[in-house]
Amino acid sequence: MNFLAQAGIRDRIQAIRKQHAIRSARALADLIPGDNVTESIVQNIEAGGKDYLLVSQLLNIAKALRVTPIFLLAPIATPSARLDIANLSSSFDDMTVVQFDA
Amino acid sequence: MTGFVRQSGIGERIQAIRKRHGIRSAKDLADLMPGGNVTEAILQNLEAGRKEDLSVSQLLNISHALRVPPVFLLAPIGRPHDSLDLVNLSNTFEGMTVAEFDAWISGETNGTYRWRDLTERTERSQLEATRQLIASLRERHRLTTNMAIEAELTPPGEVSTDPAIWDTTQERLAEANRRIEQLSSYLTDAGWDLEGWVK
Repeated sequence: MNFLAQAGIRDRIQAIRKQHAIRSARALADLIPGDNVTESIVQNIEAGGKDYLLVSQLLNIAKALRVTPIFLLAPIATPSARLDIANLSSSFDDMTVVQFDA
Repeated sequence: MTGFVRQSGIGERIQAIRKRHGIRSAKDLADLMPGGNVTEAILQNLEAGRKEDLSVSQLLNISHALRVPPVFLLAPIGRPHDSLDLVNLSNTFEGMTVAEFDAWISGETNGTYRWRDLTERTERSQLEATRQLIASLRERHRLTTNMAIEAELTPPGEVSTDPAIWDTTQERLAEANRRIEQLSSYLTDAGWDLEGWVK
C-alpha cells in the first residue's frame, strides 16, 4: 500500500519509516539528535497513544524521514478524504485533504 | 513598522498577524477557535514568549483562525536568508534558512531545498502532480463555463469555419482534459485513490 494513503498520522509515520528502510522506532529516534524525539515518543506516536504532537517534533520527524511535513499531516494520496488530525477546532469541519494542502 | 512576515519568534508573529487582521485581543482570537484546544491563556503565553513550542493541532487552529498558511507562523518569510528561530529543532536543521524551510515545507520539487534521493523526488513529484491536477480541474471548470457563455453569445449561422488565430476555448478544454487524464493515470498507477474526486 502506498504510504501516502495511510489514514492517521501514526500509520503514516510508521509506513514512511518502513518504506525508507528505517528499521525501528529506535533507529528513527537516533536520526534525531537531542531529547525532543526519543524512542519512546516514536513508539507512543506509532501506537496511537499520543495525539498531542509538538510542532518541533513533527518537523524533526519529517526531517529525519526525509519527507515534507504535509505527508505526515494528511493522507495526500486520498485527496477527497476528511482530515484525520486530532483536536482541530470546528472551523476545520468538512475540510478535505486537498483543501488542506492548498 | 516592519511587516508581520519579518517578526522573529512565533509568538511575535502570531501577535503581529492578529493585530494586522484587526483581532483586538488574545481572547477574541481564542473565540475564533470553537471547540479547539487553544485558550486565551495559551495565546497570551505564546505572544509573551513564555511558551515557545506548541502542538501541531494548536498551530493549525491558530493559523486557520488567523487565515494565514501555517508557514507564516513558523518562519519569518519576509527574511528568506535568516536562520530558523523555532525552538527544539534537532541539529540536522542547523544552517537551514527560512527560504529552504519554506521550500521543504511546501514540497517544492525545484526549490531552494535539495532533495537527496530518487524516492524523495518521486514522492514530491506525486505531490506536484496532484497540485497540477487540481489546477487542471479548475481550468476545465472555467473553460466549460466559458464555452456555455460563448455559445449563448454567438448567433447560430455566424459560427466561423476559418482557422482561428488563437486557441479556441474548445481546444484549450480538450488540452485540459488530456492533462487531467494524464495526471490521473500517473497518480492512479502510483497507488493513489482518486475516487470521488476526479470526475
